[in-house]
Amino acid sequence: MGRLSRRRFAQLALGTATVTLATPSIIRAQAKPRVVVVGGGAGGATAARYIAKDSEGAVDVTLIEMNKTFTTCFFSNLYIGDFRTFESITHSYDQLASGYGVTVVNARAAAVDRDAREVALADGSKVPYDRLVLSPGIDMKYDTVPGYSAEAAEIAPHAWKAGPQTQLLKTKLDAVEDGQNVIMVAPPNPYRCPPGPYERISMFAHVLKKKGLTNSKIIVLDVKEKFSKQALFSEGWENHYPGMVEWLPPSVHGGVTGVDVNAGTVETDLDTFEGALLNIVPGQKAGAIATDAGLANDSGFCPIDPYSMRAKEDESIFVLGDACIAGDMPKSGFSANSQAKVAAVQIRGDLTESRVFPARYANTCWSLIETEDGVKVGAQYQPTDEKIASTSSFISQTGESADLRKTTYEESIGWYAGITTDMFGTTG
Amino acid sequence: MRVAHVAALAASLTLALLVAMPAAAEETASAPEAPDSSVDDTTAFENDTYERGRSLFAQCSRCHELDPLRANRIGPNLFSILGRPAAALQDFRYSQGMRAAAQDGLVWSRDALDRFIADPRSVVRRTSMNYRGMEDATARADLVTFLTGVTPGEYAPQTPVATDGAATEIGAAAMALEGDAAYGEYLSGECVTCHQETGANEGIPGIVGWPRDAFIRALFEYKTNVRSHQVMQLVTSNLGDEEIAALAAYFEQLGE
Repeated sequence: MGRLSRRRFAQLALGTATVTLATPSIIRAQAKPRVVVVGGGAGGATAARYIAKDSEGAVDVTLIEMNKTFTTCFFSNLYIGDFRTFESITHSYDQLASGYGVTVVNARAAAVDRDAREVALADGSKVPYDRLVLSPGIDMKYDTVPGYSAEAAEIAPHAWKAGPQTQLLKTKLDAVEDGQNVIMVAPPNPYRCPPGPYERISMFAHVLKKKGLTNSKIIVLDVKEKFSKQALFSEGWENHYPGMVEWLPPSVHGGVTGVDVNAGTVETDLDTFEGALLNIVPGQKAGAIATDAGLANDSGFCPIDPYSMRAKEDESIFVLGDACIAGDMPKSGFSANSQAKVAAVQIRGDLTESRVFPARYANTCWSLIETEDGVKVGAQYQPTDEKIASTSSFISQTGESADLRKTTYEESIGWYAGITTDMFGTTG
Repeated sequence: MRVAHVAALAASLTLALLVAMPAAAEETASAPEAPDSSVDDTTAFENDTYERGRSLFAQCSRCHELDPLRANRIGPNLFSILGRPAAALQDFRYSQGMRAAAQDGLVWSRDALDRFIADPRSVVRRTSMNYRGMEDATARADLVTFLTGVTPGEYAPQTPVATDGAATEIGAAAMALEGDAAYGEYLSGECVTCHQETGANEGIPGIVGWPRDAFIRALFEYKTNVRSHQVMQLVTSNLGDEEIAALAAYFEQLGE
């Protein structure tokens, strides 16, 4: 009861615009209420599908997505490690359109006009909305690594957005010869997928080991002193890839001072490191459209109301996934999918007379260390006035049996099938 | 015939240790002398295999009843399964996978049962049965012997009870609630990120169409650590009676 009244209070405090739009007489005055979703990933696709599915035609849903298909960032490391094909992590929006009646617009959303409540597409056309969902993902802050840039990423990929960058990284990894090194510069907090860099290192090691490149090494120049699932990854690297992974925190290398992608070198205070493959993952910020709409703060990400996922700056806009500041929740596909369901219920409540339930959030992240050696971390969250706060959590333990690790890996495959079905309405 | 029995007996030594049945373990000491067999020995052997099958069935009994008077649970009642076509019970909601297998003519012969128990998904690709498979061929033979030989009234499994010694069944309070299916539908958003709405099992079991009480019991077993799974224990720690009843109502209805 206490939680419910706090949520109601938060909704009231959001101001008159919400109340006006939620008044049924106003809704009847226009055609169907319109929801526009920008970005077709774990946040956007889920929100579009749930609003369309649960409103049963009462709400008009348009999904604006630049790409015709979507390649998931989650499991893209498994493609790098030869555990998945690229096709198997690439999904179509067809079912959202044909099965759920979502209007899928293949275009780049260029800007949001918050006063006119319109999204401008790259070709200049406008898409009006009553409620807007922004789930644009991340943009790179290239300048967090001196010498790195969008152009340099064509030589030394970040591969932190799944797609051509991922394929470029895979091609370069497969071309590494015995004795040549792989260098990764790991990103500063906060970034998409906290265990991601370390799962990727595991996949690098898996591929090199399988090919018998025993004289090659993976050198990780981290800008953090510790990282997600560190004990589990460290144990896994020692067990499966002895001597192959060198992880160096800033207290050892003194700081990354420059990257020369043409020479294939990364300079630190300690030394200059040379690699046949440089995987540079810079700092990150919310996708430009959210920042340009004035929804982000100095951190580069967008504050939201923890009870509803509404942007703090605009009660008719919901910011989901990696672009928002979700308190204790990590930037993960699972989190975005969870947040989308909270937003979907709020939006339907705003625009139709459907019931609004209190926000609940959850996350689980699985990582693969070596064949059938999977680990996971998860937590439950609830909204507070300050933030989305973690209430309880778990993490895989070091020294677990091979059977349990195998089960965890198999579970991750089940989760992938589950979440992609939940996003796109089909596993295809 | 006798040779086959001896081979089966030898192979069952491992199993005897596995199921940790004192009686079976004692049997292993006298096993090498078995070749000097009579009709009585064969009968004794058949009793053993039947009894081993009975203890193996304990793991199946979480989901399956084996008595004509009992209702279906998470899985169909298996009484009189031998010779029955797949997906044949009128009052059980089978997975699409099982219904497709039935259309292809799957009948539960001894051999079909054996192959299904060995690796369920190799026989029915999209079965919703969450069982990895039984590798040991002798154990499977024992289980099938029990399954196909059990008589009415013979198998009455115990219902799990609360570990605090209370006489009430786990989850009784939630079972007494009606369950708000609309609230359950909202709450199910958290479940269907992993457990597919279609009931398909691709590494994580389907939970669609479970009988309400079985669903409630399962969630409370996670909540009280009778069942152990990190994610499920975490998820259920945040679900009260009302939430669990709501979810059970929703998922039962989703299967209709």
